[in-house]
Amino acid sequence: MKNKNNIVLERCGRNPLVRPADIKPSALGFKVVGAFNPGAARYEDEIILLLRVAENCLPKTGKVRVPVYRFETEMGIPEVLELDENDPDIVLKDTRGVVYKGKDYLSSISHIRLARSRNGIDFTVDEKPFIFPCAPDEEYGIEDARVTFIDGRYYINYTIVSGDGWSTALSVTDDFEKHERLGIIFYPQNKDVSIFPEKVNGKYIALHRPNNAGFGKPSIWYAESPDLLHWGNHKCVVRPRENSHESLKVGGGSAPVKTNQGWLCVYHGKGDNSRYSLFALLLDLEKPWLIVKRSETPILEPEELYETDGFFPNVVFTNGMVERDGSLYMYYGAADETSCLAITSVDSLLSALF
Amino acid sequence: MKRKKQWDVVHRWEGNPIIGLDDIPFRCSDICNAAAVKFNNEYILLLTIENMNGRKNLYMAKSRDGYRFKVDATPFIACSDEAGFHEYEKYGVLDPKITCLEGIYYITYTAAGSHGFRLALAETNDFKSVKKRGFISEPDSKGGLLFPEKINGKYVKLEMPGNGGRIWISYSDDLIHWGGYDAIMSPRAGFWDFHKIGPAVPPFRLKDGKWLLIYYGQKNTSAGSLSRIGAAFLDADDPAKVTDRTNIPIISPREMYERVGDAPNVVFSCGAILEGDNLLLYYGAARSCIGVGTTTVNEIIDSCIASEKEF
Repeated sequence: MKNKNNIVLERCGRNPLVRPADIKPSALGFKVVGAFNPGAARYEDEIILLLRVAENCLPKTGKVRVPVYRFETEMGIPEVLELDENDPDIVLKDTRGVVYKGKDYLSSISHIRLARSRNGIDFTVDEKPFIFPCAPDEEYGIEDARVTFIDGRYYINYTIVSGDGWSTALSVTDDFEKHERLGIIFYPQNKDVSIFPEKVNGKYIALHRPNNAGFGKPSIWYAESPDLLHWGNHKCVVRPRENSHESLKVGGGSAPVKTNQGWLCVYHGKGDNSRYSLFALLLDLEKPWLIVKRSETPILEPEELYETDGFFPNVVFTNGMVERDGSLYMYYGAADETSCLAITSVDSLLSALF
Repeated sequence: MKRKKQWDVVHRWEGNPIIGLDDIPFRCSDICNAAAVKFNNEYILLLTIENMNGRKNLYMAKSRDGYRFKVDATPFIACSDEAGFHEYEKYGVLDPKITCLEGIYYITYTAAGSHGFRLALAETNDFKSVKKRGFISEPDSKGGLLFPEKINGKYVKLEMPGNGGRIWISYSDDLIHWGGYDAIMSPRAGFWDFHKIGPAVPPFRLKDGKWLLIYYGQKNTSAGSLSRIGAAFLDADDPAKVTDRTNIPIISPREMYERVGDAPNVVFSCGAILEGDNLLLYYGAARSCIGVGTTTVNEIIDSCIASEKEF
């Protein structure tokens, strides 16, 4: 079936593939409210999703309950902070959290959980978190993991949330059993980082999305690195266009795919009424800070009920794409609640651009 | 030098302000602050001046005695029209800091452009010509500066990213690619630096090896914010470790020229000169003029750290 852009991109009939109800909470008293925005990797004969699992607390009459992490010897221990709802020190903000004695508490906190599949459709979710807050600069959670396979190792970048806002940190794993933290690579406010799978002109390359508050709208930037840890030569590359799909901001998706016509990326635009949709983008092979082509209309936008209705309605957001049997499996988060799949191919996406 | 009797740790020169609007050889809107360095027996300031059209540029001022300056009529560093620079600094260049590192004078400054505020790097050998080396941060970053020597083999910078009001450290092998980010200092609830802090003057290596960092702190009030200057001491080998911090500001807006101006109740520094134990602190006052004051390292230690309870 071809969509408006004349490309073949089909939603999986089994969507959503992972729902909050499929996930075991990470602590007693927690409730999973989201299993979305999955990073994706091919590992041995499996496809692994790195789910962003959002949890809040089971309600209790007369109480305000929020999830917190207590930090001890470089470990984060998830706990429920229970307050009397008449406590004069509580200031209820909105559904996103409370302020208690001058400190912010979020109503939900995310961590990264793995889900494994042989066919890319039927996933078994791990019982325990894979990456979870372990220090105060991650106290409000870990979100939106992206995986890049470089020189035989899986590099995972993810958003860490704290009182400072959003930064991007990097970990590396060889086996998806344990991972090694490599520190913050983009300081606040910065998220939506996509690391390229190979060096270009002798440097590692990434797209990132600083949240410039001063002037302009949040845009996708280019950066390069000799070692994946130190980044520089930042350039602004993809600016939001003046249309209803990108009126608020744009941000990068999963690791770009190398094609003979350029680096193929799928990015998201946040448009009118905070609606998220997805676009294809082609960057120059040798000079990835130059745009070769950019799709005029979304390749995917919220249309199905599970995309238009949910924790945060009208969102499709991708940060995990893998090639399998000549197809491109694009995993995406729907409505900040579930994880879904759309199947397309590199040629289809390129045809959307030319 | 004559001193006015006053309470601050930094003693204002009685001839303050040393540079006001009348000392600028062209019409301008305001004078924000200045980097400072002593070069070939001359005192050099790099002033952030907002031109009448609203853009900021950096102008040089020179002095034999450190108190009486002559300001250039043309910018030393101006917003560039060159491709690769224009979109990132077309609204202005501001808040310069000078660091002498491996024999080169590096000037870090904040560039304001279409995409927010970024830290930029330039270098000079003679304060006659200057070469822009490009941008060394993503947006938004303010107040960035370099340490005057490599530490553990790495270049080190401090800045305030994301307008978040905390001071972050990072490291580099080449002054281009930066990593190892960590927030090393935060605002302190209830203190004079309650709501926002940022690095002010490139750190000085003291005799005992420790680093002296002059920083600014902001406290918000119902009548607007108060910007003051304080000091911190960083570990000799690990500058991410703050060993001591002043519990009071070393200088606060008190004089009329610090209280009244384009931005009232502001003292804000980008430059100081340490000669022996004596610190000569140049500071922008109320975003309208430049003042200078002196103190000693011992005074900073004694009055702020040793006698915390007395304040």
